[in-house]
Amino acid sequence: MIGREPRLRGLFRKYFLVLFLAVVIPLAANGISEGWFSYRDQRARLDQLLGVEARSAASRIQGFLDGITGQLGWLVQLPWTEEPDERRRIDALRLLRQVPAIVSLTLIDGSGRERLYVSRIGLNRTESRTDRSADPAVLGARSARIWYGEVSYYRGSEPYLTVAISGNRPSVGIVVAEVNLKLIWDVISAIKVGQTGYAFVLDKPGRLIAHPDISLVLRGADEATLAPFQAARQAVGSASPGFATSRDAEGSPIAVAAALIPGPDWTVVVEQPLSEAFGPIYAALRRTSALLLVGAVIAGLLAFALARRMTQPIRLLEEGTERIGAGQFDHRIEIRTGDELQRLADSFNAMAAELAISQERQERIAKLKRFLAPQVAELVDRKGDDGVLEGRRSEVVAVFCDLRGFTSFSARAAPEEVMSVLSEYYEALGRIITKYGATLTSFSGDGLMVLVNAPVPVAEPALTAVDLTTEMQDTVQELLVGWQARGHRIGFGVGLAMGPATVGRIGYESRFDYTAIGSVVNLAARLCASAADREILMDEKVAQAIDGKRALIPLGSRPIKGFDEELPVFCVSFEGRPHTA
Amino acid sequence: MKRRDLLLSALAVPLLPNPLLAQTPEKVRQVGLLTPNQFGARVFRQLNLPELAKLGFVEGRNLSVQIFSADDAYERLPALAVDLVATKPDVIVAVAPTAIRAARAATSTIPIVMAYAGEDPVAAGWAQSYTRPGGNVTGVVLLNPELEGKRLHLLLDTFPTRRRIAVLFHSRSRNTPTDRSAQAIAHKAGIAIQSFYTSGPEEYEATFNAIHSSGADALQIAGGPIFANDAPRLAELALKAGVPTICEWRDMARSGCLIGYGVDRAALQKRVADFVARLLRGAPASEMPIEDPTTFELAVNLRTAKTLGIDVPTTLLAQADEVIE
Repeated sequence: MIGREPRLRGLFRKYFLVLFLAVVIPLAANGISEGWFSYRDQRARLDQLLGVEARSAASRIQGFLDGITGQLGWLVQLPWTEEPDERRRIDALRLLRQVPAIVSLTLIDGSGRERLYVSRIGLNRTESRTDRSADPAVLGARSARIWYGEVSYYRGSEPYLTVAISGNRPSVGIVVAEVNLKLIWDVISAIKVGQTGYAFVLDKPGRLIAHPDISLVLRGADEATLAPFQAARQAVGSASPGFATSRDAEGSPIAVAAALIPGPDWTVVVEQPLSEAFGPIYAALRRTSALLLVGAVIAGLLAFALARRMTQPIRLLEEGTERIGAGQFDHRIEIRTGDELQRLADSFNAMAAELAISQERQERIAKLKRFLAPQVAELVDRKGDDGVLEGRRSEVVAVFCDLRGFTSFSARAAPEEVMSVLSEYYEALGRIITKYGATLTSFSGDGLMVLVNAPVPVAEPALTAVDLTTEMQDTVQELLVGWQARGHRIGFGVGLAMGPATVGRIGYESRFDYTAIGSVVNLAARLCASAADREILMDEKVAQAIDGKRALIPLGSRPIKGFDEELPVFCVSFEGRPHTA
Repeated sequence: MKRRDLLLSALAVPLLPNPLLAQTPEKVRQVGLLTPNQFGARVFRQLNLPELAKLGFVEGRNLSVQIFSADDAYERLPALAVDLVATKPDVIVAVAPTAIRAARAATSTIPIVMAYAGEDPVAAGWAQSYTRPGGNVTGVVLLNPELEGKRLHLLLDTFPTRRRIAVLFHSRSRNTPTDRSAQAIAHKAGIAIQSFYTSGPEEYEATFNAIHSSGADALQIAGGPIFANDAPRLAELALKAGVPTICEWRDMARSGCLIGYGVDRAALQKRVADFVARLLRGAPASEMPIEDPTTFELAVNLRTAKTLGIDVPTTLLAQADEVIE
């Protein structure tokens, strides 16, 4: 039991591991590949999304500027005259009313003189006729129709843009507008990228023009404030196309994409916190790992259950074989798995049954060996049929023999001596009985009975019996020499008779003996009783059967106890060595 | 519990309604309003509180507002400011330069939002610069000196023939940048203006009598919370004096002033609310740039013009955001 436990655990662990890995490895491979592909998809999608957001933001800012320039176009359609133009003054004031972002308008005629200035805060001027032809705005508008100035910061804080537009011919003049860029805030703050992402605008030198947090814009040329925005633009500039990663003012990672506004040469940058941009990726990864975990747990449970199911029959088999091995042949291994294991168990069961039969046979042989010659017993057993032992009438030769003077010897001698004598005696006789294929039916003390021609018939029963007894007498006499030398006065006599007798097994349960019943047995016993040492007495029937084959000495008729008439008795001429005593 | 029930309850856990979490007592932030009169309080209630609510600060829930009004007694402002500071508000909203000055004197730690500074806060020493105020004062400036000039110019532009213009100032504005700006513009335009100073409602009648008897043919009422507060009364007196008047705010035209030109107050109050919200969230006032107004409004009251028997030029009407007929 102690030796078995670790072996069992090993098998269970092996099954468990194999089953578990068989489920988990494909699951993990699937999860990891899915995670990787969803990461790539999401990155591509983010690339697209941020690119679209940046372009859309740029077009909205462009729209804001276009709205202004579109309105300004009305003021440069008619040529100037030398007369003050009241109509145009009203138009300019109406324009101010219409476009809140315009703070002031300067109208310049074809020869570059300022004809009108209207402002929301400053004082209006009409017909000042100051020469403005050298103004960058005027020069710019003349060469490019729409000219955007650099962003200027009133008091270093409030951002203003100067826009100048010329008409389709020089005589219609030029309009120069000052635009309050704080009003882009409405546009920029409406741009939302995802949940918390936003857009901001940088001009060419890298100053913040628009940002949802207006105070950042109003902080002006503050290097510390501008640094993260410039870094973001830098990052996206070097990673075109698509988005780049940078860090915002708080140092958190962000995804940024940019688009150019060609007119004023501004850059719109959209940014989204990386945590949010990659949110779906993280969610997918979390989902995948959760599924993986659940899968692993299920696989573990499954593997545990399966491994148990698989090792249980094996354990039963092991236990069963052990019990069968220990001799419990009636033990049956109960496995109903319907597979090879069940077949294995069934064959184990069959083997146990075979073993039981075999053992039974062995026992029977051992029993038969008690009264049959071993070769006969094995023959009977091989045939698998002990019908030969069944009761029947048969012509048999019954042989009786015993020691003379043994009773008085046994009373005198020490038990060890007695047993030693008997042991030598039986050893010698047993060998001879086996040699002649006779059947030892019973023995008690120094006397024994042997049957010839039953249960196995022999060719010449009488002759065999006589030869048997002769050899017996020979052998015992040799022994007697030794015993008598030790001072024991013991002799050996034999009697045999032939005739019909009832032979068969008698006894109960496992105590069975093979025996013969009939007058021939009595006769043989009486003859033995009357035989002297060195004598082999036989009846007439035996004598007739061996007549001419062995030398016989007729002893005449003798009265035999239990028989009414006197019967003729014969003696085999015994050629043994003469008695030395 | 059955397995299915267990499963259902497990699913239900993440769906638990959030009110449980929201019920944790929220910190109530205190805003103190220091104003020369009830006008500032009204504007704050009407325009700022809804904006603050939009920004997540709702009065009665997580915001408490204390109003300290001097009720036109400007000399009470310093003492009121000290009282206000004693209540330890999170943010002080100071209406008009006088209140700002008083609040600034009372505390250099509690953030003060200028709502709004009629004069230059840097020149006044409240802030180091517009981009980085550097102290506890930030907020919105009104560009009042410039706008005062602009209003005078607009009056001249509209009625080029009326060249005897009276300007009504609060007596505290004497010799302020605003006062000087009006004088400078008049000088530039080649006209003489006559400044009248009044210290409060009880003097209005006398002052308007003086204006009338001076022969003025147009009137500019200078900026200031006191005039904004008393707009209907002033408009009535101006009508009685028979002079077209230009005032600081669009809504003063609604009260009877002929022309109201100035900053878009709703937009400005939105900015004020934004300042308050940012400060309540803990942003430092010293890092919060001071802002200029962005949008301006013009309103014309044609009823007043009709009563005065004046033709309003179409140029002005074309520019007006609102025409009251």
